[in-house]
Amino acid sequence: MPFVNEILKYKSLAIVGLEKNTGKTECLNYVLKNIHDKQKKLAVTSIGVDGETVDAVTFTKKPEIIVYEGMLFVTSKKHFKEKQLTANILDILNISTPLGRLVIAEAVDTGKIRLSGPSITTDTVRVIERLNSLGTELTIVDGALSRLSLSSPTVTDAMILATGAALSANIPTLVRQTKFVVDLINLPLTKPEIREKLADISGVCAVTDDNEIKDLGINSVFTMNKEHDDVFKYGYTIYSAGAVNDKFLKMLKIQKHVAETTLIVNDFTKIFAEPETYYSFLRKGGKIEVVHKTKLLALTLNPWAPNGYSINSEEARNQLFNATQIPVYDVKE
Amino acid sequence: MSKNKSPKLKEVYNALPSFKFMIDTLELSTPFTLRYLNETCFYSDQIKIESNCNDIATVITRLHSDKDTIDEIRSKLHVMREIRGSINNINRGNTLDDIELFEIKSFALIYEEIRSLFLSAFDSSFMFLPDLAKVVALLDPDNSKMTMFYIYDSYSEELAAIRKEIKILSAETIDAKTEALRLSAEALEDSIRERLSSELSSFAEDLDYAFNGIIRLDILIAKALQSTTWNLCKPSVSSHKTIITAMTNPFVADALNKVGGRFQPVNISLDENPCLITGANMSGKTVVLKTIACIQYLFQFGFFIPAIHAEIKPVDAIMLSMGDGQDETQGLSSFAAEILKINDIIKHIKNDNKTLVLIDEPARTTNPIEGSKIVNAILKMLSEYKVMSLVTTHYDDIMPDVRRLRVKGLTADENELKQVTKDNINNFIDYSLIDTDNKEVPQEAIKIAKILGVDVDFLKNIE
Repeated sequence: MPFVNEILKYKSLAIVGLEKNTGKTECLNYVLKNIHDKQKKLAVTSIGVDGETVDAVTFTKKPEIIVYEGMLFVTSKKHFKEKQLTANILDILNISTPLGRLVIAEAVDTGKIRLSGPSITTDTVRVIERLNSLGTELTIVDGALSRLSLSSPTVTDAMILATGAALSANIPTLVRQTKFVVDLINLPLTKPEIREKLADISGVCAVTDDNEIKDLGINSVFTMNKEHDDVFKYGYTIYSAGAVNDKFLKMLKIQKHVAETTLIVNDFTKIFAEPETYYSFLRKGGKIEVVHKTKLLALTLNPWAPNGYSINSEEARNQLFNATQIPVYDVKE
Repeated sequence: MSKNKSPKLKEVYNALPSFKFMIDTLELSTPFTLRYLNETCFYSDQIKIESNCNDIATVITRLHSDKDTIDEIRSKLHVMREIRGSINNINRGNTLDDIELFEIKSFALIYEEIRSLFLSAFDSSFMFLPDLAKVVALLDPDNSKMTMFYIYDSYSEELAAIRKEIKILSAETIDAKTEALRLSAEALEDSIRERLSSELSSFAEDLDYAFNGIIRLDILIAKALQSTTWNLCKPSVSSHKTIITAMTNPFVADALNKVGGRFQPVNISLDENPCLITGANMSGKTVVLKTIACIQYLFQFGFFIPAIHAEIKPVDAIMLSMGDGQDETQGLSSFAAEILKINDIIKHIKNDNKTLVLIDEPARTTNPIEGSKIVNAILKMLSEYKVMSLVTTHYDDIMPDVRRLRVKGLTADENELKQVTKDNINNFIDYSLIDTDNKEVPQEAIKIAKILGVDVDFLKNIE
């Protein structure tokens, strides 16, 4: 996988699975194995809990995470105690998780660990900052792309997306669903003048042509009330800090000024719309932009599904590449 | 609050905003000091109050002469770790895990740095901070002085040998053989942890002193800083009376400052008798009571005082009735809630007159005829039991032989009166308290209402 050299250009990388058992852990292990001797101080952490020996839902055996001598890692107290390597404790952070406070340690030898990490974005940022202050040059985040996750993997500079037969055993479906997420990840950044201003805002607001932020008094598009809330009173550029649902995007889509409408979201994980709605909004001239963007380096494919089905790896990779123009690698090869 | 004889700091914090403000502005350094400060009980003992004040004074002199050292101590306090739980585990004879050992090592390392800074600035008799060099040596066998920990190779040659073997094998692959080696390494590590924990138990008492010392040092430095920032004075302990010159209330003063106002310092003296305060509405009687309550608490929790000079008599309890205790959930009217609170106070002073009692406008919500009878009865009992106390009222016909103070009040003459509005009225009120024999209460309610700009027809009807 030649993308390894590409990874070294960044300070932080998230590895995100589109579905359970899409080979995220294999991908993570592959990356760690291939970059640990590249003269960079590495650290690995995760968003939420991951790396269980047996997946709690499907009881499928999951490969464990192997960290190499000299690498830093972050995990909860509970998982730290279960480590299968010698590790030098460097710090204990004041960030609590259901499995205890987070420990930063340096592997004294090579061995297996289970990763658990902070569950909210601000804590993930804090962890990465602390790792940097301890001399880390590249932090790899095992990122869950769960709809329930409060921590967004877009806090990292770069990303690898793991997809596979676990998502769909039908190649066209797999390609369509993967392409949709790739399109979201590739959404353009909003203009720099308003990016910083929007980063601290919560709720829903409007951005005027003069880049002024106007509060719309709406906490979330979920609690919006059509009768009382006039979303368009300050123009057609709308920012939503929280999630944007299908209903809201549909509402924007049917307005007569849809072509002048720009929807800005914090990052791509905030969009919870059906692909049909999303593409139809764009076709009608609507624009979507993000405040935080991450560079998608590669796709990895796991041709095996946990139920035993497999797909033709080469065909799937070709079709994925044709649809997304992003390099695709098979984690099992 | 008033029911508890010797309240913890956090109870006063929750009940009295002026006091809360003083704690909130305290610049504590460690992440855990506040938790311990919250649990401190108020000192009734004169010697404790005095020695604590002397300690703050000592730190203040060092703040002036050796600020850099104090700043360095503070920056190190910031990264201190809470090890109370680990100390308890040592005392219970438990084996500590790597995380606990890391925390103790990291504590001991930074503690030693703080201790040497401390000894360079203070006399060693100022505070006992035991030497933890042996704890550091135990947990830092390679003498790296870094805040990190694992079961080092230098603890056991056997362990070092096994680890070497694991390293060679795992460079290739992780297989059954490395697993077996790992298990024996783990067994060795466990026995080392056990040994370290048992060796640490002989230092448990020192660790305890060190941990408490750190908390005390942090609190003293924070109090000293606060005293310099707010120009607080060192109080002296008096056996029978309280005299405070130019007392202020930093909480109210801060709020006034924000709107361009200024807090007028007030003098007050109290002896072991009740004192009645009268004064027009808006003349600051309630603020006087709250300020005195706050000052008395600060004094008994070992703080300096927002005043120019303060001699204060220590008490066993401070009991406050602000008449704002209406509690519909218990089906009590404001009068009922108040009278029950005052009853608590009366019952309390019968057993312990070494109490400071502060009652704001008792019986204000009932008819003036019975109201003044109630006020008279309260004053009579406070006199009988010789209780240091302050009672405010608007009622006439209050018993003659009690000391009276009056707020000077509105000083504007006829001409100035025209410029007074509800926004600038504070500038025209003299908040000084003056002794008076005049038994009539000031009658300025209508004047104040006029200044506040109430409806003209309404005023005509009043007059």
